[in-house]
Amino acid sequence: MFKKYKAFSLLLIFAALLVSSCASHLGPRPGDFTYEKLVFSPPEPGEFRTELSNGIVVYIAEDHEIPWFNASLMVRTGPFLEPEDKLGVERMTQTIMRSGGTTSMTGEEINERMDFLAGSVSATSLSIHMRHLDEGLKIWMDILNNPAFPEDKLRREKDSAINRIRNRNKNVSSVGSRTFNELVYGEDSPITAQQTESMVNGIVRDDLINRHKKYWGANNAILIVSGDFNKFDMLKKLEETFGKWENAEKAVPEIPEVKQAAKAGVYMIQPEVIPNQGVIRIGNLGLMQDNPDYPAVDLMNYILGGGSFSSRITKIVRSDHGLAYSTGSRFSGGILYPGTFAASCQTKNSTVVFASQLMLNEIEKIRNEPVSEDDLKFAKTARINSFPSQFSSISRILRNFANLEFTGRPMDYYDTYLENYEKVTVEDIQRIAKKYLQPENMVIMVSGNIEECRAGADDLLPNQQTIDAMAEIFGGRAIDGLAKKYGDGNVNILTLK
Amino acid sequence: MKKSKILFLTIMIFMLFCISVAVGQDLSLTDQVIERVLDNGLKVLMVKRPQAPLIRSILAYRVGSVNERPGITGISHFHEHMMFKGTYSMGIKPGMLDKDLDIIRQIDEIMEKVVEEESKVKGRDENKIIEWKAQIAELIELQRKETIISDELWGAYQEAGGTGINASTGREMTQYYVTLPKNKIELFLALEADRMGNPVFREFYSERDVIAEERRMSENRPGYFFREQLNATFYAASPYSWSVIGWMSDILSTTRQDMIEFREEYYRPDNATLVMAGDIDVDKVMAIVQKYFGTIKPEGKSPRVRTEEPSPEYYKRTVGPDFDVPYIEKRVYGKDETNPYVTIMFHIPPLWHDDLAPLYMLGRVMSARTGDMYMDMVEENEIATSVSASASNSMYDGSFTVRATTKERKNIAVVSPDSIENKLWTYIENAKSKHFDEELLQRVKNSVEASFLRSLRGTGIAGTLVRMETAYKWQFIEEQYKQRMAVTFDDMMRVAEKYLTKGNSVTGILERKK
Repeated sequence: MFKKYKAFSLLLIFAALLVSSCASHLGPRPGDFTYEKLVFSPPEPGEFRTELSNGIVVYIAEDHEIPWFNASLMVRTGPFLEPEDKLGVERMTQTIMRSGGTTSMTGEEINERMDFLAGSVSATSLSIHMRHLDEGLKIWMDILNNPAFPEDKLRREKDSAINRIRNRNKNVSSVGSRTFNELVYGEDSPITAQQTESMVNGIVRDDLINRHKKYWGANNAILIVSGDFNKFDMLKKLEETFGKWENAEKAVPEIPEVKQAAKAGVYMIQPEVIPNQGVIRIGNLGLMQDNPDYPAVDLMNYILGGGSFSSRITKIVRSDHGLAYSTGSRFSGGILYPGTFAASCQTKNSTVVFASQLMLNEIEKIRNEPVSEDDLKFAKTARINSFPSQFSSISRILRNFANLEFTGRPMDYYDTYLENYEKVTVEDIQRIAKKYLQPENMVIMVSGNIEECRAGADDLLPNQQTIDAMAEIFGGRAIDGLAKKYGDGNVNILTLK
Repeated sequence: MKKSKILFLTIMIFMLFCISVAVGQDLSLTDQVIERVLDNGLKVLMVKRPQAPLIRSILAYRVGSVNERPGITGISHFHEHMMFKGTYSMGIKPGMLDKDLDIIRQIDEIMEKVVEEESKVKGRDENKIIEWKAQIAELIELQRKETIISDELWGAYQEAGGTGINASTGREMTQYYVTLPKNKIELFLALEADRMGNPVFREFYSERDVIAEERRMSENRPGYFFREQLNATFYAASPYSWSVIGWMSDILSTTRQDMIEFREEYYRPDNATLVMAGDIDVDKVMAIVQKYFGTIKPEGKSPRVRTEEPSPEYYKRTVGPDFDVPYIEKRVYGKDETNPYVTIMFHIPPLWHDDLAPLYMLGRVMSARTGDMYMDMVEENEIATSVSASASNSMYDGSFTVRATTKERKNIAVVSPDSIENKLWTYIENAKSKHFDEELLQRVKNSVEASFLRSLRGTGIAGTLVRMETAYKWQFIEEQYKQRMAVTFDDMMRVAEKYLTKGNSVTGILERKK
């Protein structure tokens, strides 16, 4: 050890010499370069969309890179289509359609055959070498039409569902995100409802059979197909398979009414395994993705905490103060119901309060002060220049368009994308920051070691000046100050379910 | 920056998207890769993938946790973080370089005192340490206000439309990557060459705290400490013994000077590979590569780590051919609040060794979901929720790992760890004595063929190339594939007999903590 430090001072002098010799010829700056013009416009959905004779929608494209076939199926079976006393039944139905095999092939026989063909198949996908396509398609159709749903596979799925339930309170970050959602949407909302052991025990084979009958059909699905084929020939092949798939009952999910459940304030929860970091989520109910405000909200959030290292929260929490590896903010645009705004951070117990204060400070700042033209220009340029990467592969192009149709969004979404981002102004950012970052709804949730996280910063940390400054604004070094500023003064301790 | 704005004003007018350009029906990898080597040793690999106007670029260095030593574990990963902290021209406000370097020098001087004080076994002056740290905090505050632009390189890639921006460190390789619109390739080449040659390690001590938080995140995953100790027990001679993130005590005592010494040895063109896959004009791109990287001309060579893990073969060679190999069996027991498992690890050679292809195929055959072990333990008797067997594909001596996760009902294991371990040994012994089903081997070979084919698709090929080039040579991707396809049952029985012995094993047993 001693030797190492001796060498240290000598090398320091050496390093200083090195530094001064290099400092004279400076390297590049990002503004130094002139780039060739890149012309790009997004592909049109109409080029890929077609329907088979039974009405099933297909997005299809040739992709000749390797002799491979890829297909996936989006089926409307998911959220808000399950009986409330049998949550998780859809996941089991889908898994067992594949693992339980069909009336003519057991699940194990499908495994053997698919392994031999070196492909993979599930209820909702097929990936296989072109030379084995016919057999692959036949097996997939068999799974879709004639699943056997054997009792032993159901029992096994129930076992693992119970295992997941028994272990879901252990991990600090999963407890954190679940609890935050429960605060925003409410514990009783179908959005956050959790599967329980008695729900699992109540699921019987007939439930799976009924679900399959009810929802798995051509009119509830969109098919996505790409591969090394001739499009015309492939459509003939699909007509013989998916074109004969029968219709099901048209699924109409019952979308719940959403309003924020929890009042503003501080909420804490302790996972079963006591962690050495606290997970912080600060936020409120958000908006729908098709809201005309969304591009401005996205840009505002880019500046606040969504633009990774170029965002304010990441810079201050991570780069400046070294408080977290993972921090930032997210404004998810909801598809079926409004998403959430959440600033988040995972940091050691003693800095949970400090990090929360720094994030709240940035939230207040972006509400109260207009962002600079430069900040907005940066966020816009980043979003606009990265636009082509949303179409980086054929499968991605197909997925994008199928998604638009599946979720009922306008099909010209990508045609108007750039325009919608271009037109956002500094005033828009200010307006939407005030509108969507709501102190009166601001939930401050900490999952972690309650006692240690609550206490706040000690005197042994660096940056005491900043800690003091934040304590001044937010009522002290302990979390109780935040409870006074944002809530009714109480730190609400939640219990695990 | 100004230019990129103008570009996209014309976006709506044209359509330049080639939907069905075939790369070629010849699926040989060798024909697709264009290789160039600069005079300074930098190897450049390019693959044309013109489907979208993008280029996936990776600059990889042959350096990772194997290049560390006790006391500075984790430094290669720490260094990866520091590469985002700027150079003499990036991350620094105009005209502030001299002042910035002066502040850095002052911080280092104080830090040297702190380190000396903290390394005292007894009688540390805690007050002094607090006082010095406060001085450092002030200097850092000054730097932040007056001299630095933090995370400027990352921001430059973002503004240029970069996606998938990141870096990662492994045991043998550190890589920096981004996907950019094809017209921005010069930005990548200029900035990467700049930080290869002229990095300045700013914000060192706050980044050290970030890395401590990164490690804490892993520590909070149940079973982390057990896995770390199991690995440390398995490797005695090899630097694979510590994890890439490093021991917490080492992370917290690393200094900037340690890092300067470390970087000078490894961050050099002759120790790097540049891979680009996408819509590339080869001559144009090579001219830019030459312009920025061609001028970096370091002296000497990067040191190479030479290491071998004691195994039966090692004893025979180092002690004598007739030596009776000692029976040494290591076992690690643990408890944690997670699914219990049993894992048995065996020492095996590096990826270039002829025994590796049979070992790889043995792992695939043993663990197949249509094979005996899975059918017995998971399907029929339901004592495990998953089983696996696999051979590592590493630059130095690695491991063959057989493992089963015990099935639980209501968080209680259905059988004891002993019975799981015995079952695993039944299948390990079977591998030495009995031929598997002929069709099973064929199924595995079909899957190996399909994976090879799919690895050639899209710009993901860049990652495949860089991994193998760093560990050995990129041409070995195809060679290794051919070796695997030629493996017979006799080959697999031979390697099972040779490596899968108790005396060459380490067993880890994790039970659920109640």
